[in-house]
Amino acid sequence: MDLYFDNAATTRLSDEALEAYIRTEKEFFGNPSSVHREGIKAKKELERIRASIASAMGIQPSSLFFTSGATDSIASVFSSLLFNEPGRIIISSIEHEAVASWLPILKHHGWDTVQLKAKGGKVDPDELASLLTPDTKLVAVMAVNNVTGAVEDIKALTEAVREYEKKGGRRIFFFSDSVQALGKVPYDITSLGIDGASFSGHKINGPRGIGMLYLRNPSAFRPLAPAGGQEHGKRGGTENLPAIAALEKAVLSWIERFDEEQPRIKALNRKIRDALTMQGLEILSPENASPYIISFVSPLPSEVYVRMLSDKGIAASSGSACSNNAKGEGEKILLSMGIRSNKARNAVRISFSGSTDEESAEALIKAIKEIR
Amino acid sequence: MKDKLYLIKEGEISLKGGNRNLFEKRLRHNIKDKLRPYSSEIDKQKGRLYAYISEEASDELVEKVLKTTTGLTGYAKAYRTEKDIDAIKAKAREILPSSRFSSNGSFRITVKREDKTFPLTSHDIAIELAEVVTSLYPDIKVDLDNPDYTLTCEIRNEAYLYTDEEKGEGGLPSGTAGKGMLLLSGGIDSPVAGYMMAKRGMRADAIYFHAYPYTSELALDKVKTLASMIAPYLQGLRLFVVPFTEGQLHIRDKGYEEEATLMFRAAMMRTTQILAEKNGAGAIITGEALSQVASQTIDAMSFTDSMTDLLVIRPLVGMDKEEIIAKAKHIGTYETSILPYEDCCVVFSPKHPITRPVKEVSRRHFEELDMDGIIRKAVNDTVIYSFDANGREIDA
Repeated sequence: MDLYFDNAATTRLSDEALEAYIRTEKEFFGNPSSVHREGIKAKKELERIRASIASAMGIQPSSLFFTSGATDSIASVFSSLLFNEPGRIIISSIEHEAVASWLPILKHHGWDTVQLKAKGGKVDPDELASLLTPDTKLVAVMAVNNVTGAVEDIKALTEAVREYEKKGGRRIFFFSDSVQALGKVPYDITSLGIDGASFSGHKINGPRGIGMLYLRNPSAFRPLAPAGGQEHGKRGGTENLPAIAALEKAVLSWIERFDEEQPRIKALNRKIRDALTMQGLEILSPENASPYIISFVSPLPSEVYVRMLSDKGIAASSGSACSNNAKGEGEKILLSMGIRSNKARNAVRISFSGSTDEESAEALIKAIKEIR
Repeated sequence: MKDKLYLIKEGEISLKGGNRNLFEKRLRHNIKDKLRPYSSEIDKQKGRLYAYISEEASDELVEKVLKTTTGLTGYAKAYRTEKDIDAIKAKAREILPSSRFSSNGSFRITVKREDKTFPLTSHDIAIELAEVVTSLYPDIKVDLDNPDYTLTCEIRNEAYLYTDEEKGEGGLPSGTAGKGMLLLSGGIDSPVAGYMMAKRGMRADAIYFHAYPYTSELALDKVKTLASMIAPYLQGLRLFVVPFTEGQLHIRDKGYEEEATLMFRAAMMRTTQILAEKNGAGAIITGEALSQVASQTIDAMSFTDSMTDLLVIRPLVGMDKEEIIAKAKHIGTYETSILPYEDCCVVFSPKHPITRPVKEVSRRHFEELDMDGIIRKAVNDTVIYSFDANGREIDA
């Protein structure tokens, strides 16, 4: 029984990912940039994995770049804007700090930074359309919100952008931080019409310190520094091959098991939602949210509630700090979704993974009933 | 075994009359206690203490001990050599480069020739040593009245050389002025309050009211760290961790919301008094400063005072925050105090706390809460952590 319910923060490394890590570290220790036999062997393995993951995700291998994580992927896209003439950048008001923290920097460099409202966690395509201007260069909306699991209608949003482009405007780069989406909700980059996306290994039972950047049109992308020219000049630094091999196992496993896992997790989600409602606890996650995330209003400040769960062996996440003056990141996101501060302060997030089973859900429900 | 020598200057103790011996004895004991397991002998000669400390104790350790021992105003490491002018000069040449001496500035040589059989006069020795100094620092100037640096040479049974002294804490040796119970919260103020009373010669144990899970384990760890940081000034201390969740919930559920903080402080006074009586403490020390928060007004403090028979000492009462922060930085607690683990969860803090309680009314409200049983239970469940004079946690 797995009582770890903080899988939106990080997940356990799977055994097969760990095995792949160890084997690759031993067998393919060469630097993929080296021209000797060991280097060539490592390079071939790197490209095999790239093709394998790309194929599973339904994209071109040349569109996939390995980075040190989603934060790194996001930073390479947002820092590249500094080369451009400043214009408008539009992001949703519920983005992760890895995206949102770029706004003050870009503003400092003369960019017109605009935040899209997300009432109830949902970004409105019409509102986006109304904010687009001829000098808009980038729009960023996350695919799945990390606090409530709210799923954005990315297709409608990219269509709004493409529609505007047709009016003779320039090309607008649509970026979607997809860390909580891959393997967890229906997600097909190509049909969504995204130009760039970020992914993280450790959210899907892969290792920490590895992530991916998707670029639909890599040739148009110029990073702040190509450094050693690895990853086709998009992300320098010697490739973390063992972590990339472990990531392959993680991505493939989530994508392959998607069809059987979705109904199972949805049923567990339903069961827990019902139990929360029975306890009179308000659920903050929308009905169509990712089945892997439930946020609810606990009867206590979230940090206290999470400690009480922790004493019962259950790991959950508190969106706020038990403090008069400090706001937690989750709390800020909830406030910008229009949730009242007394609720945001008590918000607790539970998040699932493949190892969450019926028994785990029962134990969680029992603990929730015990804490009043 | 060879020893190293430190000269120690007493401050306020030297103003003492008939009981001066007691203070000196305590100071010597405090230093020796902190230096253990290394051996040390401390003699008094001509108004100064001479500490002979085992060579095995590092300079770093000795200096940390002397810097955190209250009751001494300064100290200097002295270097011994044989009573021979060439040996003395060679030693001076050896020690000056690691001293503060530099070419910019002025110096003087002070010679104390206790051994009158030494063939050279004080003046002769000074001239010989001045030559050493000017050969090392060609641009240095002589200034007998107001020098930047001083090299002192004492001729006794052996010759001693030392340069400028380091400042000590001053005040009186901890352990000469009774014992208090320090209310330690995890904030900036209370460790400073403990330190200030250590400088007046007090010893203290600390009390922390823990409201898990409303306050985190990290908050407790932080308080333990703070206790270990002030332990050297207080010559060691014990930390009493009183589990007070039940008391906090009782006050929240049964009391008036705007009075919650006052009621909590009243309960703290009652609890502290019981622990003080059990542990031989005669006063309560708090880090309160007038008007800093709602519970620190004259009316509020006067109410909390009335909840205990013990003397309540508030060494920071007239200080402003900047002064307190400067002291917290001096003793090294500031960076730990500002870590973001709240000592009191927001659920227990009223939105509009009362600032001008009427003593009689609030006292009545406190008695109506009928907390004796809860307090007795909290005292019984108190967990004690002990820290030695060097701030190391030891088995209680």
